[in-house]
Amino acid sequence: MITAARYEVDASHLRVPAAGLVVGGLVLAHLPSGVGLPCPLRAVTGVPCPFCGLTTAVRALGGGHLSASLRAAPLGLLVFAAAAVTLAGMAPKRIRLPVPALAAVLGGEWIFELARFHLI
Amino acid sequence: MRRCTACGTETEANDAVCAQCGGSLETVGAPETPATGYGPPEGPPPPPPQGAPGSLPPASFGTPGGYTQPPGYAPPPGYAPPPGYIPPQGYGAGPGGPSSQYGTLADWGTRALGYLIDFALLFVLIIVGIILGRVTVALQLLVDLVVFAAGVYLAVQVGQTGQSPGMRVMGLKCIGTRTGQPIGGGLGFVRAIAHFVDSIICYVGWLFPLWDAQRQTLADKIMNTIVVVVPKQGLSLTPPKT
Repeated sequence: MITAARYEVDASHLRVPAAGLVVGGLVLAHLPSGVGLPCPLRAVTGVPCPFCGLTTAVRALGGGHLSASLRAAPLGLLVFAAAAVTLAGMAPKRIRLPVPALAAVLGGEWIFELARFHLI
Repeated sequence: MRRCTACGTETEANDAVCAQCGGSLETVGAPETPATGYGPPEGPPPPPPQGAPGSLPPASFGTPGGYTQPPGYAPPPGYAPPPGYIPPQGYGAGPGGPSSQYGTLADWGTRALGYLIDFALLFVLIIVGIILGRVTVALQLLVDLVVFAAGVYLAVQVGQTGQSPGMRVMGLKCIGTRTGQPIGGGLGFVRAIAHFVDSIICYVGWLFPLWDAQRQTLADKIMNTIVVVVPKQGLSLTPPKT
């Protein structure tokens, strides 16, 4: 729920998904590329969504390829780091994120993906 | 109760800005936090005021079903939050997980299992369609129509009763955040369509309940619904008669 231009995150149940993300990256790194769910938006229209490239980015991080990860989706490093912090038990239970900052990050990521697919 | 920071007008309405001057509204000592989308509850009574307005958590404390406290537990008069406690916004991270004023919010895993059960029911029909499709394409089309109709029926059930077959088995109920009641068959159908938004962004919308403080998918946010925990029931394709 967006409250006073803040989006409230409840991190209390995020440890299992965080583990899934990190382990998923490590496992995907040893599988042939292309494993994963295709983005419906890109499959139908050819236009990537703001979250496109994250599977590739996390897979690259799992294989230790930092620059390849950043080329796929810079947000991937942020998500991976957040998952690592959560797994280490260092994430606060409740996080309040400013909505303008969220919008800027997602908007920037979308522009990056649009450029990556040569649409802008 | 909310008060305009500019002209001081007080209102109970859920408006985003002051109706008089357009200024921003702040909450003043009321259990509901209108910015979270909660209107005055029709179901449970609002918690009694505890002490001075603003000095105490505005919600959930004293709300029936909000916290899974031991039976008989009651906060003593003048109960004050521990240092560092973040007041919940109409819901809170209590011992039993985040809760709303209408009950404990269901976690992502339980909701996903409920969905899988519903999908399994439809999958049976899909398999029948594929088998019959081996005979003639017309039969497959007919079964596909039945699958679609069954999907619509499940969505309308969720709207009318708050529950699909899978949700009854897992003990889940979808209700409106403003009323605490099921949203109605038509809106249930619209909510199913709104799940489209959850899918087109690389399915990330479906994952929102994992971290969202209200445990809502994007479709839930669009439709102003939450999913709460209720007693489990046996598997039944139609809503049980009451």
